[in-house]
Amino acid sequence: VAALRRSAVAAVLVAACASAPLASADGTVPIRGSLLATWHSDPAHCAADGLCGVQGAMTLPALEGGFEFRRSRAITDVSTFADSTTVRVEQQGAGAAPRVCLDTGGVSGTASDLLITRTDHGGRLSAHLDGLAASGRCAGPTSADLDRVGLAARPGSGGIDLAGRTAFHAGPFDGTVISTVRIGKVHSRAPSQQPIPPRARERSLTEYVRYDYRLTGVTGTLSGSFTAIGGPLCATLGACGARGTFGFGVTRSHGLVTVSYARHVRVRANRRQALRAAAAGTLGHPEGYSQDLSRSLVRTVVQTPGLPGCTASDRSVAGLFAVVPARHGLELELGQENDPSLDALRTPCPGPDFSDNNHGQATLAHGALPVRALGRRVLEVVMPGSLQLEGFGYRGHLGGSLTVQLTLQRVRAGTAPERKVPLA
Amino acid sequence: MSRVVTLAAAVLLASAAPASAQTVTLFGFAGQGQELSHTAIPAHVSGSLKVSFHGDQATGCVAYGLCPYSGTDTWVPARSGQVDVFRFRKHGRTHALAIAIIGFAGQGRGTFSKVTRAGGGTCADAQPDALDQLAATVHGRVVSMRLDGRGSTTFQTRCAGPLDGDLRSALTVRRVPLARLLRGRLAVDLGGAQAFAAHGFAGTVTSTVELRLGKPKRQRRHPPPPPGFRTVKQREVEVSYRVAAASGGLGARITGASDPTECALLDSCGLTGTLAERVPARAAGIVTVIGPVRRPRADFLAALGLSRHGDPQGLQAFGGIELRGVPTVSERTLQDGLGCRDATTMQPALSIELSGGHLRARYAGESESGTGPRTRCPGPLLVGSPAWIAPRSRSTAPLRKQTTTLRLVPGPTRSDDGYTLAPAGTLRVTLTRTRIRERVINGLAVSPPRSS
Repeated sequence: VAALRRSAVAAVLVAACASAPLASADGTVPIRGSLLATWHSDPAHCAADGLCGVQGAMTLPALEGGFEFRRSRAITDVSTFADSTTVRVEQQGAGAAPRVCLDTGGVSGTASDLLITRTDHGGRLSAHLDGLAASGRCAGPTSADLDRVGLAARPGSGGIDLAGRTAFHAGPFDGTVISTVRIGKVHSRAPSQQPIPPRARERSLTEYVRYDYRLTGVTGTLSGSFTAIGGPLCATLGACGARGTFGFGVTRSHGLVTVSYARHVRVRANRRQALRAAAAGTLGHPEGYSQDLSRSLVRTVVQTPGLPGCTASDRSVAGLFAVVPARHGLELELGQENDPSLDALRTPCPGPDFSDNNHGQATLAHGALPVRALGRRVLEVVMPGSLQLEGFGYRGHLGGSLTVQLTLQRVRAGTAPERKVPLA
Repeated sequence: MSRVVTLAAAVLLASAAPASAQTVTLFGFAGQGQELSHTAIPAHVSGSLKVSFHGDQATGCVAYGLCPYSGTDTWVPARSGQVDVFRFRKHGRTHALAIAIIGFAGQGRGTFSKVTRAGGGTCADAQPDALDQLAATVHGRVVSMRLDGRGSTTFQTRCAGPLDGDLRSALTVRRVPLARLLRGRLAVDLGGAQAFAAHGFAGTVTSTVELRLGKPKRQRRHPPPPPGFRTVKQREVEVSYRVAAASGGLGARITGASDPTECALLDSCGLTGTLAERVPARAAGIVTVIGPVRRPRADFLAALGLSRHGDPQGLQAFGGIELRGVPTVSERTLQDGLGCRDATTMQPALSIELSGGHLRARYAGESESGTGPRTRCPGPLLVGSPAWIAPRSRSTAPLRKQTTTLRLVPGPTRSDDGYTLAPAGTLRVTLTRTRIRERVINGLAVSPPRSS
């Protein structure tokens, strides 16, 4: 979803400029209204986390022109909201004046999205938020919590009406999402991709090797600590003197890691020859792809002077593991990809978020994929924690190590016309 | 960064243009004479700036109703910026112009306000999207740098508080020889603590902001187009108008948010207020259409609504009329029996768009930096609003006359993060066409994709 969102945002810019070819059925849509999320402590569940007496709000104004990216017949992704928002949270401490946390969320240049899903043949619609910065570094629901909130979507002659109130429950909080958003009809469709002549595609032969590994186990934990930065900055976040720890582990590993090699050839090579060429490094640089459905758990403990201690856990969303090109081959990364929805360190407690992490550019941990050992039944990737937090608000570090076990599922190799090559 | 800003502007312009036009205008160094050189110096920005303030009787807080408010504004700038130094020749003399921009804040940065109302609540607000511009003034061979640009709105949030202009005297000024600035690799310390007192508020400005300038880079006078773009010749036809008369009373009604959590955190519960704008009667502006140079002039005139002949298909005209003078906006608010009133200047503009034989016009007050005209009273940020619009179905036919009158009616009610703003009143603007100019310019077009 994160990758799709980035594609959609990039496509907005491209489509705005001209007629560069895009996938069909994308277009600009008029959007009006805003979205308000409010939350407050749930008296029945807040005491255990130390998050009683909290109330907060976040408003997202809609972009004046959104962009519709149709992912399939059933799902449409609409880049809807501005890239920044203001988060306001107040927590009542024992006998003291309420502590106010004020933050700005979002990633510059990255719109938050609405995923609109057509649920059945009758054409019923539902909408979900995707990729919000949520409560930023203040106490409140995480991005994943708000992503689960469904909005009522009513189709009409002029577009889709998303106005309404939706209650949600997220750990120690109860909340409401109030939407006045209305999405108009698509103004302009980008032209379809120009088809490549079938003959040209048939003529081009590709020698390839593809290794599919299953993600069968992740052991170890990442752990670290953080402190609020002093001065006027901590007063803004209501976090002066705050310190805390976090621990991160994978509770269920499930996914696929694919590494492939390919090159254009004129003469067909058989499976053995292709495997030999890949091992010899003559098939070029490897490319990687991951489909991560693992579940992880992050736990934070935060002590803020004048407020009850906060201890909370949160299940991180899937998609944290990614294969990326590196100088000598490929790396497996556990990262945030500049995406608030992949912020693995956020829980309902106040604390650092992706913006303290070089604005989400740095990864939490990474390790080299042993490309020379590809083909072995089991591969192990050691991923030491590598994060130094140094942002506005908090500083800290994340250490420890994860060991990822990959088990070979399938190897495909040979030569085929380009369009039939089973590459990721 | 200037490339980024230019490209962003280019993209914005392109998005406003129809797909068939597919071109944007190259930005040039206009109005300052002949450009001799352009040096860009990257800057790393560190530190922050804090304004602590309270209502001050000595400067009239009773009259404004600002006495109950006290609080802090904290500005956390973006980490990167750029100083651009242009040298140009005008009337036979060499001049210099310096522009210093600290990038878009966003990403957990910006201006953060926490303001307490005596006997009331606490307003917490942030302005994350500010593009901060330093005042960099060149006098002879010395550049004076200060943390406020022209029309700066760095400290404007929805909470009550001083405006940027009130803090001017308390902002540190650093003077750097121009020759030294052009060598780069220099730290410009804009830190310091100074008191201020103006317009109902008094307090202290404490800054730890420092610019560390990097290696200067001489920019090419004719830079190549950005990747994916190419330069093309384009025809530009420009019509100048002046406002012969403007009449009407413009106002807006402000109400605090109705959601109890939202309004409590912004201290806008139960707040009501009004805005009143004084519309200046003297103004001038242009409406422009840009398109392929091969298309005949008649097509452009048709797109501008000036001719019945010609094919306007695929051409879109847009422009604006800046209403100069001393336009002011007055705000009055009432909350829990406490009144606040203040006025500020603004830069209202009448924007005009002609497309498909229809005219769209919109009148809105904005500051030069794009944010709305905030006063010192609490209230909405008014970004791009309140707005008055011409009915959508209006034909471009009246523009064929030398003089035409536009009638603008209130636009829709807008919500602004804790406030609702409902424009009211009508505006009649009489435009007189003064000049039509045509020229060929360099534009940017998206390069066609390479065939595989």
